[in-house]
Amino acid sequence: MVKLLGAALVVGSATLIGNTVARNYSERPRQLAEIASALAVLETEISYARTPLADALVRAYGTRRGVGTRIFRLAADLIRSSEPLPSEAWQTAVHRVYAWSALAPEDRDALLAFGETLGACGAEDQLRHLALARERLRANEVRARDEAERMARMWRYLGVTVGAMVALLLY
Amino acid sequence: MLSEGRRGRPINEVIVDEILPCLPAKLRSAIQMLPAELLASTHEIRLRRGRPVMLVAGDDEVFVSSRGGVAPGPDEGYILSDQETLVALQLMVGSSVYSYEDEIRQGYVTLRGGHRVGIVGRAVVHDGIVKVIKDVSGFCIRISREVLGAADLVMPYLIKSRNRLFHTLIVSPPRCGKTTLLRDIARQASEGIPSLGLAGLRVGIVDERSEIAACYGGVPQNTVGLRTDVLDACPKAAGLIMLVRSMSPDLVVTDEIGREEDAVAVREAMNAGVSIVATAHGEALEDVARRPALRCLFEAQMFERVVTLSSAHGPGTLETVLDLRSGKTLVARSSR
Repeated sequence: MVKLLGAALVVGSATLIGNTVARNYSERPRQLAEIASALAVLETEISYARTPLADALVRAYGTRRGVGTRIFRLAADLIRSSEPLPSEAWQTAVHRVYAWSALAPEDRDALLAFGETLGACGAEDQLRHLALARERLRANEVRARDEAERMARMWRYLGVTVGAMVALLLY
Repeated sequence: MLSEGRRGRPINEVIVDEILPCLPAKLRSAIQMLPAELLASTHEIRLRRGRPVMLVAGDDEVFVSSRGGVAPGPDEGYILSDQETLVALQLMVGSSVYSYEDEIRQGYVTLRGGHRVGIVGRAVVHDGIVKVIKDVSGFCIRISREVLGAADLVMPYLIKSRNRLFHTLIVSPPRCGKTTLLRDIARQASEGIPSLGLAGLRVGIVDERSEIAACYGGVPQNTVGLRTDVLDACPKAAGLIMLVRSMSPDLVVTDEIGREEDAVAVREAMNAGVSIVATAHGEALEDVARRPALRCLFEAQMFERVVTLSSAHGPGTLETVLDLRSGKTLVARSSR
């Protein structure tokens, strides 16, 4: 009876570990989705209201707060305080947030490329660059979601099977 | 007469509060080290990429030193770097070129406080229309002055009845105080002048370049009067008609009419029974009257009074007030 309880415990905890690792894989597509929706808000703010950049960035951050959208908030704070060049403020913000986000290098590069023209051109150009960045990030997101699903499934199975194997060996 | 800034604040304080935040940090502190009296008499600050920064104070040009304060000559002057030019532009437009696109296309932006900054660089042209100014290379920052009482001399000649002003055109070359005079006319008309028998009028201002009322976030920064409504950043022609239709003004005030559609709108507003006070660029009345777009207004004798200004005794020197209908000169500088 005790043995059976122990075996169940081993299988249970191994499954939990597998699930936890699996969940971490879905973090990147989630952050990318946050950024995508913030970019959509930014696009609206720029195209319809011509909202000044710092305010527009704060609004973009406000709609969906998360690790990914921290970039928008940080860039806005930098522009308001010490870094009037929006391209440099954005660059700093991307680097700082990237360090502890789940984003991949190709996501960072897409964000950096977008920042180069930020606030420095007319609305039409600005929107064109925005659309380009959204497209690149969306492609990344699709790939990240694919990969996440594959890896998550693998880790979930791995958790259960390894747990069962260990339980069998010890039984 | 013109040494005072907004609401009686000295110009040097206005510069520190409203202009310096739009300049790169190093240049900001260099200008802050200039003597206060010099700043107080400053009309323009001129920035040119790769060349020394210059202040225009009265008739003098002063170079800002790279170590702060006044430079003895251009060689010791503060040279504006490429990076600083970019930073200055971004500070002036609140880090968003796209929200000032239309203004930049016309060659200027307006800062908080109504100070106008002229911008030059390389124009990108599509189909004969300037799309944007790239590679910005120079700024001319004109410090806007609010002079309460600037219109004291002319008001007696502009009042038609208890609740009407004559249709008036103010004519002068740049930098002679057109907008300052216009703003004070709006203020005095709005508040009413009991001693001259003028009741407070409902005044509408079409402020296409945000220079008259200096709205910031929709709120006038300048004193424009109790009964004044401001349509900010709106094209003059469209704005005139909007105000006449929606705000039932007694008087509409607008700056720098010159295009065909402006003349049409002014005429329509006058026909709707609204008094108009407007300004136009020109050395003398004849120059303005010759301009094709405005000629029809003069031929139809729409304007009743013309005020001309010069800078003979400093900006805002009143030259003449003419009665256009009778052709009589009501005031001339020599006779005062």
